[in-house]
Amino acid sequence: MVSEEVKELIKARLEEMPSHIKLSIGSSGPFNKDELIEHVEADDEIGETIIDMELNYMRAFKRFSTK
Amino acid sequence: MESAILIRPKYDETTAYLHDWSEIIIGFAENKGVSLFDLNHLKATRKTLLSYLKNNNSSLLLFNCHGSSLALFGHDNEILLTSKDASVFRDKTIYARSCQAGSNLGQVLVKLGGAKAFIGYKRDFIFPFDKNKTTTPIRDTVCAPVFDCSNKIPFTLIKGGTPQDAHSRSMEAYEHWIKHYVDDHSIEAPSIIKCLLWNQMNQVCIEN
Repeated sequence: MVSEEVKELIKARLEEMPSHIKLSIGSSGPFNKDELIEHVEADDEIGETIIDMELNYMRAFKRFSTK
Repeated sequence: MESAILIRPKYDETTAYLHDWSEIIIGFAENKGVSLFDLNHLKATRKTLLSYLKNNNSSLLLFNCHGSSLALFGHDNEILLTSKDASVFRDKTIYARSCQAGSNLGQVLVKLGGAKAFIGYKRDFIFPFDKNKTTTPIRDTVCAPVFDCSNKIPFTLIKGGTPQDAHSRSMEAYEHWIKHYVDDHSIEAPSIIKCLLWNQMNQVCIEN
């Protein structure tokens, strides 16, 4: 479970996703950015995956920027 | 290796992408002199799979389908295999380009069932795609890096590489594409990098 602050940050990052891109996650269907944000807000299993993926990306980007 | 079985249902957007990006494996196997049994579309059923396993001595199975920590799914989400089928996969090398099967199912198939190796993903296998390219997934450049990295696994195994070789080649490809897209300023780059990092982190090679 992440803080509301982190969740808001992740939602803001998802807002920047291009509208023609969808992500295939699991068997419940590909998701566009609005649907991804809805799952983050709903705190469901898909939302948890999206949050973990975004956090992993942010951690990795620290690594790239220090190279 | 003499033969392999490719399993690739096609009944929704996700399986359509998995299906079409597996097509290249068929030509690759032909060039390497490996017979490949293609269980595609309606043929991706449990009955057909078990029949092929019984009648052919294929040592490599390549699943491209939906999955969970407990099962892999064929056409229209029919259960293809669960951990209860572990003994059927003795001495087989299995790659599952599927969600979550690397967390539990893979462990059971290898540790209890005696499969030689299982390569899969501990959590969901995630790929980005361009919603305007869904009728021609193979021309979708947004998903291409993810499928290039994951296709390194069947390519290496078909060439006779070990499961660990296949896993390593795939990891190298992830590093290559991540570096490429870090320096790329296209609007799609962040979505692509996120998926590459995620699948790289969750890809596991379980060996007996």
